[in-house]
Amino acid sequence: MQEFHYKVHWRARGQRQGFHAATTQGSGMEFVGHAPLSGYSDPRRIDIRASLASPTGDWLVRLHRTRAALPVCVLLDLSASMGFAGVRRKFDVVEAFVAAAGFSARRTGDAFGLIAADDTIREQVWLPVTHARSAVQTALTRLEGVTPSGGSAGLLEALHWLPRTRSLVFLVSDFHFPLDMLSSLLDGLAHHEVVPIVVWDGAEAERLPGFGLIELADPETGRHRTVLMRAGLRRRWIERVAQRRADLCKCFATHRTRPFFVDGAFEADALTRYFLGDDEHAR
Amino acid sequence: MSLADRFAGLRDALRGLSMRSRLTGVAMLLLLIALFEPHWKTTRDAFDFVVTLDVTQSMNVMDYEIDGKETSRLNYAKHTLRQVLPALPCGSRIGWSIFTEYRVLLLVAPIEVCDNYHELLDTLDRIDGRMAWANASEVAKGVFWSMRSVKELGGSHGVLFITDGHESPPLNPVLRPVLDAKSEKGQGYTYMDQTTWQNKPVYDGKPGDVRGLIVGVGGETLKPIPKLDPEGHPMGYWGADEVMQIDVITAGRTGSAAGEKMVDEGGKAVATMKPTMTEHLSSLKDAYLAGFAREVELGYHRLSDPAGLLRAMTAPEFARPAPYQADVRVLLASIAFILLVIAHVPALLRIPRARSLGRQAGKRFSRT
Amino acid sequence: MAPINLAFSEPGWLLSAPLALLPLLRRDADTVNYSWLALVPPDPLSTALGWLLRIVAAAVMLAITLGLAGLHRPQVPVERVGKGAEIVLLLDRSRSMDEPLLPKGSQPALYSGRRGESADLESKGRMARRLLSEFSANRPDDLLALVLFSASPIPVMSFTQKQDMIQGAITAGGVGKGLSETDMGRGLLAAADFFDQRAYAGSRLILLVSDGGAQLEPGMRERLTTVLKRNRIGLYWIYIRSAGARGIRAEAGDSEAMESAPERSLHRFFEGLGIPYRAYEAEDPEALKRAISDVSRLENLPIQYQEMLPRFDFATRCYAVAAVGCLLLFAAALMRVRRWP
Repeated sequence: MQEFHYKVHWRARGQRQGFHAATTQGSGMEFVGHAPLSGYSDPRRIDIRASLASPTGDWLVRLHRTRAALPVCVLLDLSASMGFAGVRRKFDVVEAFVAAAGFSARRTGDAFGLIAADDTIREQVWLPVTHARSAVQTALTRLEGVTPSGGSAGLLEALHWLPRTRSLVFLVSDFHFPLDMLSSLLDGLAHHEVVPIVVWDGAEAERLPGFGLIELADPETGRHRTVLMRAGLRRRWIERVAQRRADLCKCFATHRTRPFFVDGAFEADALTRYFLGDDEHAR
Repeated sequence: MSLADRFAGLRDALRGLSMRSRLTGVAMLLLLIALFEPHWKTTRDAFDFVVTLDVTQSMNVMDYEIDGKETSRLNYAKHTLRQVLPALPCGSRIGWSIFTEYRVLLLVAPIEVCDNYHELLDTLDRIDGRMAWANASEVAKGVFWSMRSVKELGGSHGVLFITDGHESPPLNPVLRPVLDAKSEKGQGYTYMDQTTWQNKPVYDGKPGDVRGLIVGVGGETLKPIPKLDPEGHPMGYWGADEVMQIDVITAGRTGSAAGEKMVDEGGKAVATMKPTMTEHLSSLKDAYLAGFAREVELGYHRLSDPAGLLRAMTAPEFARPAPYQADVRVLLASIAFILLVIAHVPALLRIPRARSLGRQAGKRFSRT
Repeated sequence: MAPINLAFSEPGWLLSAPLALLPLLRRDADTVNYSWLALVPPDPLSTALGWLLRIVAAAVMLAITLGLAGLHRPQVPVERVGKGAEIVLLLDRSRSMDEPLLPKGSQPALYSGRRGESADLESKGRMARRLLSEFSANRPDDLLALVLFSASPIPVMSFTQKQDMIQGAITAGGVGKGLSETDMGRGLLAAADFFDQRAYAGSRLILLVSDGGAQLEPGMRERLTTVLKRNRIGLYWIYIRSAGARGIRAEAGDSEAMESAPERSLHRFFEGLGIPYRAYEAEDPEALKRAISDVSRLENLPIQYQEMLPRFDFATRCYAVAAVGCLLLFAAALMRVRRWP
């Protein structure tokens, strides 16, 4: 099972001890300041040097911030397009990611939850945020036998299902919906740290057939299109996909987030590098 | 590239085809075969008849209606035949003949109906009472004559004799027509015994050697017979005193001594027919014709509508297997059509709603 | 040009025509899923091709339906010009025609038999019919009509070129014996009647074949004169001379009684009509043959007639269209990509 490392740039508000910097005071390495012993009666933390220097002559106690756990949530788009199978099935990639996310959250000591949506929230797939060690298995079991269908409108409701506390939200989708909708979705999720995981397949873009007649069907709308594939159209197609990628990046940037593109198999290390600030997957 | 490789390529290409494409391909092959206009040599039933129309004056009695207008028996019979003609299967042959006096006159020997439809209709339209060459109507003799004509033509045509059965002069019941297989082959009818059975209608063939139908036309009630001059102008109706009310034969010859009576083979006097005084009126002699038909082994059909006559004429007993080139194109094209319909109704093909791209399309979402 | 009439021989098949709309409904078959069609660049060529293929499929099915329904152009009359004439055959159906045509000089008494069947001699009627049927078979452009006459005229068929019908009518004349009386005047009237109210399309001819003459009443003569002249009808009389009878032309030494014989007086009447008239006396089979070949040689003016352009069957064309359509569809099928590379 793959594991990736993640971190956030804000302080977690969780009460539970964890890995992330938090606003909670307690046992920890991070020094905050001094307080009179009368208020914080923990004699183990008496800072003698500071007390001696104290003009008031009070005994001062060192205050530290503790490290807290953080809710990690996967918000999964289960619209029909996510059922696309090209070079590999998108859903396999999704499952691999959910497994990795859940596993990583457990290893980091964070709570893990799963929310899936197509036209509405898929309640039977919903896994409320939990610290249970079995969360990964539960999530994967619930994804078993699920067939992506319908559109992506349900994602907009998802914010009501997310934890109230600020969480790390992996928004897993192919983002095959209008930019307006993406914009409002990101607005809705502004309270959380959103990491867009863009699941695309090589067959959607680069690996197009060179020539032939194709009757395309859109699984979400049921629409058909006949395409006479040829060199010119193929080039325009690839350009259009690249343009879409650029548009998505721009839209994410305005919402102060960077997308993580999965064009083939999911690689946990690449995601770790993403959290380290490496931009290779955003382009 | 070797030939085998080429075929392997073709095979792969065909294997890659969807069911719809395969069906289209088969339909294409069927249609291409149809372009060569293949035919299947077979036979189908055809019906050959020499149609004899009674054109005696009793046939001018108005006891039918066509579209609400009164019309004569002859016209109604012609009207019916006009409808029957196009309904006969192609390959059937129809000839026209007319009956008056004691004989029939063949106008057109049987010819194929489909090719000569308009010509046959034209001749039928021309048949009317003016063609009659005498004012007499010895129906039984006419039927025999028509049977002989058919034999003389040498074909296997059926006889279709359309008449009202009105015998004029009337026929004494003792002179009922008989079939005489023993008599010598000869003239119109056989003179058997000069003194006794003269003029008794006799058929000189074997019973049943000519098939056919006697078709009765006319109403049930007695009606006056219009009298027409040779050019067809009406001259009122026939009066009771203008027609013979008893048969001439049993009444004795004019030249005979008064009281001389006809005797049968045993020498007994034959009962003279009692005059009914209705011989100037006419109705369909249904029972007489039916009985007569039974005796000469012809069918009897009472004319009521074209469909009925067509049914009677196309009875299996009159069928002749005529060579026929069945059009196989219809079969090929209809199969092609059905294949294309199936090809365009996915429910019939049992294909999945849509195929997915890619290699693993077949087994998506089944985790192992 | 006249509008092309089309007809169906089996219109019942047209009920299946709506099925031809099936390909226009976008039903799933041969499709591959693609996640988002908005990613596919708009391409008018592809769109047009998609519609074209669907329309072709619909057209194929429609064409098959039309073929099955037996689309055809019914036979249509067309004006043609040929060499020949409009000829009314006026045949004597009297019983005397059943007698054999004896070579000149034979005595009728030598012949004893009833209808020529015992002798190896052909009856007059039979010979006339045989020659006429050869005559018509050799002259396909002629329009022939046929009138029989005995006590009353019996018009059998009006002008036709259908050999079947002509031969059928001529054959029919040989079945059964002849009728007893003859009324040549009404026969001629009935024959001339065929030309009445008929547009003049070529030379008109009555070909009278009889073995006797007739005394015509003055009234009948007048009617005949009028109708023959008005319709510009030529008259050919093939007189089949009975054994022992005198010819129609006067010979030296004929008595007055012979001069007033019916055939003589009829001949004179015809001559006096002022219409093209020819008389042939056929005394033996050879002469009869000569007379008929004469007619066929002389009457070869242009004639305008209506020919029935035979029915044209479009079914094969329909199937051809369908086959070509199927070929296109199949070619498209071979081009179809059903798997991504």
